[in-house]
Amino acid sequence: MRVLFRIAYRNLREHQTKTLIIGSIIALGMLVLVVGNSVLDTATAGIETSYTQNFTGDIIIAAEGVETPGLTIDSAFTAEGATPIIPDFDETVAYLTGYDGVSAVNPLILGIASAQIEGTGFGIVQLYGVDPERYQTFFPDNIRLLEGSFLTPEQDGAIVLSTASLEMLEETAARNIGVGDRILVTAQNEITGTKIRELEIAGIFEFIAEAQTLQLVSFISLTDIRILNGMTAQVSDAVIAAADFSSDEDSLFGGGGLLGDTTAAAGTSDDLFGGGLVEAVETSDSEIDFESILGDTSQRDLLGQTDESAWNYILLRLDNPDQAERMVAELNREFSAGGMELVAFEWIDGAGTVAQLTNTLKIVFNWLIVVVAVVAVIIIMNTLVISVTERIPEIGTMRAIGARRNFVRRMIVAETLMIAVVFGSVGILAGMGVTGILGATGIESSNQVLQIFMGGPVLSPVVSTTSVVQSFAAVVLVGIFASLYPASIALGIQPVTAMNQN
Amino acid sequence: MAIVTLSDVHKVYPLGKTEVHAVQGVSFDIEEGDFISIAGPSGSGKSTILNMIGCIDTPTEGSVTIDGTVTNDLNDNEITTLRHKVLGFIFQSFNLVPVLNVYENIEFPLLLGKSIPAKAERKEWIEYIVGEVGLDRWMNHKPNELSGGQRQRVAIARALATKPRIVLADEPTANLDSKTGEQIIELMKQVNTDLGTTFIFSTHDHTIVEIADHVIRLQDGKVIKNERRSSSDESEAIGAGSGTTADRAGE
Ligand SMILES: Nc1ncnc2c1ncn2[C@@H]1O[C@H](COP(=O)(O)OP(=O)(O)O)[C@@H](O)[C@H]1O
Ligand SMILES: [Mg+2]
Repeated sequence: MRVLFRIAYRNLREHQTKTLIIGSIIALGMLVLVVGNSVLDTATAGIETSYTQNFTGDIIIAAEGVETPGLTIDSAFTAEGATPIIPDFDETVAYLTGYDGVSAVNPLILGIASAQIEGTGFGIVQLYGVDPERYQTFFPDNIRLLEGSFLTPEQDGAIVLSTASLEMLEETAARNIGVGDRILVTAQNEITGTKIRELEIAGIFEFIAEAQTLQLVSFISLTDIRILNGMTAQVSDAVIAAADFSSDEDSLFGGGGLLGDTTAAAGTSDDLFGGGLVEAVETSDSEIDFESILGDTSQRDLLGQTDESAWNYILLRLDNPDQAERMVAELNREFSAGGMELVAFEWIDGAGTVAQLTNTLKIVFNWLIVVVAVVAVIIIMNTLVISVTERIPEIGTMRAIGARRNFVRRMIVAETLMIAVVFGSVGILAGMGVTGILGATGIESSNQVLQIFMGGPVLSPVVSTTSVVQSFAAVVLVGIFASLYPASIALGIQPVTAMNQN
Repeated sequence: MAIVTLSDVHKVYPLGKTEVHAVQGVSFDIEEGDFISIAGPSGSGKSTILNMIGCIDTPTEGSVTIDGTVTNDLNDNEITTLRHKVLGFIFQSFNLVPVLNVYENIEFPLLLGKSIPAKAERKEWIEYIVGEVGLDRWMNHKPNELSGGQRQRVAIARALATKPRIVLADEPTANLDSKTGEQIIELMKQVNTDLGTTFIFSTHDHTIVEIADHVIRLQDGKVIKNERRSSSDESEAIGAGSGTTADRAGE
């Protein structure tokens, strides 16, 4: 078989210019493929580590009916309706804690609210209601406290404010705000309507990992988030009854009453930040609900009692994060088999559109490469067809003196594969080199959109093994595909053509 | 038994809407060890007949038997194997592989078979035939560094590489000057004597025909003379199947 490669090699050398042109196309394609995929793989891996280690865990469990776990501000805004509550919370936690492959469990309540201080200023806060001990065990060092302290267990009426929300509030209120200050947090929920809580700032923090979509997250004590979200004891079981309350409110205030239209359907940011509400209700009370205005105190007592087993999500950390995809499928099978009204998601589903964009970008990039590969195949194929046509008498002679069809096929494939593999390897090596240089210097960007795709302000790409293996496979496929048609022409060459020469 | 037998062979080529009856009922036998010339003017059907003997073309009618095998119904791989084992080819335009040097061109057919001889064995044999054709000092040269006569010597050596029993040569001298052409035919005759290889060559050159000890003369796709000469230069006509033998025997 060495003769095949000898002939292939010498034919390539004989037609140097042609070989170099085709080779450069292949090499360049492979270079772009390796660099592009290495950069994207590094970005994706960075985003994955950043999200799973700091915000999402490896798997997110929600109540049945949740379509996307809205852990980020973008998904919080786009989410429709209230996030359902995990059923049979204690049993569920026990089940998941004991689940094979799960190393840690962390429940979470999510909310979104506006913040004011002393009747002025305006800030948006995305609220994470957490069990302080569990949370800090689950995410041991994901935040940096700049002032004050984190929430403590059993603490009420406290908020640990993000720097981004704090800055927004300070700017609009035109004053310095710090630990010990009390802010007014207003949220709307579909069950009990608008709720306002006065909270003391226990601490000010920022996430260590850069994540634009989590800048506005603040931690809030559990009782308060449950009140803001309407997760009260009776309501958890009787959503319909609560829905009746809101329609009562609507009819009560519908005629241009006390609160204008701010109690209309909750959840839209326009309503939420309409601004009229807080001024209208002057209070120093920590909780305002409309039942008190109605004078129906029995209802207030009931609703005031929060449901301590009401949670929106349970985050899971796995022994082996690579198993996440498999375990999500397994969990979902077991949930439906066991009649548990739960649903499991991979971390990426809760990471919001931004993290998913990088994945999308990778898919788009690889489709682009497919298009380029098709063009490359056509160019190589065309050139080979010409070279086969030029060699009809030569191939005919080989057939006449005893070369089988298979030999001719292998000769053509050897030629294409040789050019593809040699120049492809050069391109891959060059791509590894370029990636190495980029990795050493780091790609920096101050552009926020770019930073999102890069997973941070500086991206130091690392050559990914998959990108090298995939590129090599791609170049071999390109070689094989490009040789199919020319080989079929060569196979059609009859031995008699050796004779028809003058 | 004859090594090549043609019986009532016809070959019809389609030519636009009409047909060309290139070979019209040709029958003859070739004995092993013969040095045969297929002679005749251009267009008389020499190439067509050689191609059918060489199993690179098939008769429209009649049969070609090579070394006891009727070739008509063999598939492509069987035919290729037969060509590789039994036949050697010398072409009018030499048809060497341009990227291979003299040694590699001669070695090439040896690498195509199912069982490839060991490298040392190949080397010994190739050096022997290169010596036979007188190209010892040109082994590492590429075809384009050789003269036409030298190239045809390489082609002869290549045709002999697999030790075939029959070597076919369609107008091997047509692209050479007459002196070189004669040398080539003499070389072929030499190999025929030394190795006992059957040579079948076509030519329209009278002087070259003289060297053959068996001449089959064609005209318009028919055998007009089938003549075996003894070494003492007596001529002897052999009955040709088509019955057209003696028409122009006195030419
Ligand atoms: N492939 C072909 N298609 C059509 N006609 C052909 C073909 N090959 C040969 N012929 C015709 O067959 C006849 C015999 O040709 P050929 O065997 O080449 O003669 P020679 O070799 O004696 O010159 C000629 O008339 C030639 O034109
Ligand atoms: Mg001819």
